[in-house]
Amino acid sequence: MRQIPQKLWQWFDKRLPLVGSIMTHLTHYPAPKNLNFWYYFGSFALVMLINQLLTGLWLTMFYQPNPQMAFASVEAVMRDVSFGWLLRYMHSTGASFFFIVVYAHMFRGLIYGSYKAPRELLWMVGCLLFVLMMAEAFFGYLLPWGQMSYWGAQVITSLFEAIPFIGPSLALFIRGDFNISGVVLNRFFALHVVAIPLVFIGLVGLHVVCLHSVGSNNPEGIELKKSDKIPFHPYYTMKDLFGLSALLFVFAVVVFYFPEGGGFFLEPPNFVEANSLVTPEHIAPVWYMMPFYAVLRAIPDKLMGVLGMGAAIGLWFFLPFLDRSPIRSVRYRSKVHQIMLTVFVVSFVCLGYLGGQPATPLLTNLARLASCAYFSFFVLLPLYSSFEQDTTHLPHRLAVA
Amino acid sequence: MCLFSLLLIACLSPFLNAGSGGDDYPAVVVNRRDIAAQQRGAGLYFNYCSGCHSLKQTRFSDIARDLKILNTQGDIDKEAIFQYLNHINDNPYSSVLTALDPEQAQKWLGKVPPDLSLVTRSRSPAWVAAFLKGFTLDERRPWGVNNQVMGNTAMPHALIDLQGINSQGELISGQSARYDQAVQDLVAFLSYVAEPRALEREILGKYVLLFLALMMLVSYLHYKSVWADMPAQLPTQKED
Repeated sequence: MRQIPQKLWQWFDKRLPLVGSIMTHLTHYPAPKNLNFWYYFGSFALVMLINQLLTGLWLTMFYQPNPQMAFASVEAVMRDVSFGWLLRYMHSTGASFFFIVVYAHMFRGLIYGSYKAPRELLWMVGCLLFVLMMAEAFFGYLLPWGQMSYWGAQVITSLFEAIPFIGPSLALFIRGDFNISGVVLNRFFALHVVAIPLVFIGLVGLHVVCLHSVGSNNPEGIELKKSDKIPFHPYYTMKDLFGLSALLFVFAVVVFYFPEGGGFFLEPPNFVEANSLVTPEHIAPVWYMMPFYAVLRAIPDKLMGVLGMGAAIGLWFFLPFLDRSPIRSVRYRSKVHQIMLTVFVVSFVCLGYLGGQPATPLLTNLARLASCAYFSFFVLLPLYSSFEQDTTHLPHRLAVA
Repeated sequence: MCLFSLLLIACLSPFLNAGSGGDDYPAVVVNRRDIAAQQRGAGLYFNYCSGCHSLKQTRFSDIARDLKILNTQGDIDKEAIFQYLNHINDNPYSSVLTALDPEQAQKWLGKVPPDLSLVTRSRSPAWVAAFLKGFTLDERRPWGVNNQVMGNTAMPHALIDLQGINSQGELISGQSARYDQAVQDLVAFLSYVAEPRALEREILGKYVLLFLALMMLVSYLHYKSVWADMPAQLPTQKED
């Protein structure tokens, strides 16, 4: 009798290797033992994704994708639904935190050369996830049907009109209408809650499979011996649990005490219902889109601006092939690369600031300067990295701690 | 850890001026626990503002419940609702609408008075206070008043009796404690209407933060002890 549960389990495990998969991908996954602060952000991103999926699911139960009711239904969630305000703030703050975490995650990849062979596909799947995240955030931002939702969507969908020949028809196809309207709200809702999340979850799975087949990079950027790796559980599960509580603490401070995020997470004009007859004084995208928006505005020609903005994101995909140096970590790269990385990060932050400011002549010129600095990183990288071939100064294994 | 705290400060820096709404108007402190101020504000609102401005995202019954306008049994006091709040219909659960017909409002005022459910969030409490205190007499305007915060406003100075006019025939400005108090109470009420669950949020937040701080401490100690107990060579570390 006692053996029945065991036999049943064996029967199950033969047909579905649950334990084996958990061992391979979680408990026994060999992780470098020198992962530092920046390596928290991968697991943080996963937690933020789960937060968005769960709070989003509950919000969907109360939200009405209908231009007559959308704005009021969001307010009803805030007022009449038990803990509806918490769901909504966790979702809106979660969107911003997801981007903070992912930007930190990408920065990590950038400085430690995690995009280099053999992790090119891992990096490119990650870039695709980033693009999908921006699309998801953009579609979701229309749903509260506030003034910024409406006019932001109007500006972004009209960008497609800049494409020669097919532009206007393409913009019409995307919107399904000549303006932002109920038709657009309905399809953005469908894309936001079904299409993009489905693809996103699939790609996250692929991202993890890619990672676990090539293994994690590490701050030294060198190939590690088995003796320099430790099982993910309990060492990193416990470390990540601590990191996660710290992240959730900061997250809760914002959700409970600063849900508007100083006007960055929930923008004041979005507390006014969408009105197609009144254009807000100053249309700016949410903070996480601002660097790319600044590139768009810095270029005087609309089509070139759209292409420039596309390139600002698209060039990320090609990073593994633009960087010719065999050295991964910034710790052992040349001074030139260290300076260029700094220029790149500073220009990105400057573009982010400028994207949220009104386009005065001075600021537009600054944005042009910052855009040049931003693109110079991608342009100069293949040139100078070809000369960084000397790997003799790299350590062969981790120093004994 | 140093890097972490720096990053934390960097992340939180945009919120440091969150309370003031980020504009240049004199800051207004709203105490969400001061129900009496919100009640006084509601009284002013339904005497002076509700004739033109709706609060359509809320209901009379919700205001009565949250501002403790209750009868001896602890239910919402319907008589008080009809006496002090609802002058437009006979339903205590109705949304706070206005009796003003939009078409006529357009004719009379040149603009339909906006709904004020979320005005303290789309502007800021400081903006609302500055606007209400920003009226000046101006014979060129149809209502005889202009506004320093919103130039050429279509709104008449509905609170002119509260602010008062001095012996030179000018609006009393700066030193009217009674008017300042009225504006403060109105802002308190409108802040409540804009986010009725804000008090609940701030109270719950303390417990959540306390729990997370404890979790942070325990998980930190546990993580440190797990790493400290790491054997010199794990079975997985044997080279092939």
